[in-house]
Amino acid sequence: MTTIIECASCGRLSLRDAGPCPACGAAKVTAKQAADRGVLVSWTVIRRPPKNSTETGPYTVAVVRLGDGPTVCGRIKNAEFAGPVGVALDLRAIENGVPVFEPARTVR
Amino acid sequence: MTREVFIAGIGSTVFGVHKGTSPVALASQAAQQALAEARCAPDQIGALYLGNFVSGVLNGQEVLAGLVGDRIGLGPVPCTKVEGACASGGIAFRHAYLAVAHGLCDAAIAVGVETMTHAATPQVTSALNCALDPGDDVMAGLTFPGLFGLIWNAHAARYGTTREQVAAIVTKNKANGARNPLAQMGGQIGLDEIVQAPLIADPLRRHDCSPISDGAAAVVLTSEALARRAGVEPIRVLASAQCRGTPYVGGHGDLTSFGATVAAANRAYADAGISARDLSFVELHDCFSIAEIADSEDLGIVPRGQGGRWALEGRTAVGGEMPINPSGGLLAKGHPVGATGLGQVYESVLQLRGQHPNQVAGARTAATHNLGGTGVVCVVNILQRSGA
Repeated sequence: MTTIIECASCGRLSLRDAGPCPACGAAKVTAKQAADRGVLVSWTVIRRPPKNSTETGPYTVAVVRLGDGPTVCGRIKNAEFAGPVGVALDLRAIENGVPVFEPARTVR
Repeated sequence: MTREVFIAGIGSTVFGVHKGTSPVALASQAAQQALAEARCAPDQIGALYLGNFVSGVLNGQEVLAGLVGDRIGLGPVPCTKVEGACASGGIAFRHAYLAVAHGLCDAAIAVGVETMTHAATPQVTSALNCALDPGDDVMAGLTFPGLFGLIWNAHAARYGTTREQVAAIVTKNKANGARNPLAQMGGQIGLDEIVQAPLIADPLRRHDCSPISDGAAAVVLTSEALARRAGVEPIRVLASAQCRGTPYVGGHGDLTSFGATVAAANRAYADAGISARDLSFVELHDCFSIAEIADSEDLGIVPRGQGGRWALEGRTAVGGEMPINPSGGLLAKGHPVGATGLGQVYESVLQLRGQHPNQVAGARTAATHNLGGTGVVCVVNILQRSGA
């Protein structure tokens, strides 16, 4: 399991263990538990990052549905991931506020 | 009670590269053309609404509405800028429509403008990223091409949509653009050339993305009495609907569909008293090739999951059963973001007058579809020949 926060102000569920809410900045959040294994909803490899990015790309952005919990936007560790949609992913870390996933290695 | 509203005049610059021309100059050029067509003196205009998205970021220039109002000689009337990312032009149109429909004034002008080509691509990507939700999406490094890469992979997984089908959108819209003198680009482009271009955000390659553009478009909306005095055939506005959708990617229950489009389309069809099958053609928001597939399904003009197949079978070409983007769309005509929604109206009005260079035979009723952000706002307008 992993900790998620529910914002008391805007209601957004975010994958992190403490406030402030990344969507609206409100300090008051409630910690909850969610699965740390999810299903890949979709993915893309960003090859042209925006100007204000410190990265040059490529990197993989993924949308992941966490068990019965929220659907989150994060990264897959493999910079040039190639799917498929529907694969099981495990949350490996939250780096600078961004959830990082890897394909699940074991069946639980 | 509201009254009927008509489009009495339209104006547009070429969409493309206008280096060294200010947004105020471009917008004023389009506005003056629309006023001349409508035979409307500047002092007859009761309100101006201007759609613009990134002039503050890319040009360091704001208050465009007042600057354009002054340049075109309006009286001391309200001049208001509206912003809803790439739907800013559509929102400006709807506000001008509302002003006339509710009797606030007998004539209003909607203007849309953007200048972007002077900026480098990473700078433009950053500016457009202002339309992302400030939560996970920005932190994860998402971009707008990236959003549509996500949509493509989700659509392909669910419906089996292929690279060849998505390429058919590019081929069709670039061919349509070649027939439109206002388009930034156009020509013959096939699957081989499309798949050899560099990847931007997998699976999107360069030709799957709309170009960076400068341009402006304007529309004069009036009461029926004023429209009858115009120098051109008035076009009736049957509906103008605007809906909000989720502002962040994780909020989309289904990544193959935009809730804001479905809601705005349903509202517009109900207000107009028509259904999707009554449309003669549609100008929709193909900011990326895959977007045309999702949009056409959300608008109900193509069965769910079959947007790619219909394109490949030629059913959405001019001459097909549901022509989509006869102007070339954003992919070929260009996407000066704040002007796009009004450019769609401009193209549709020419079609409904029977005067478009890429004419849809017998065009009678049209829809325009303008989407902003990650689907946070959508405007759908229904237009009809007034003699129809």
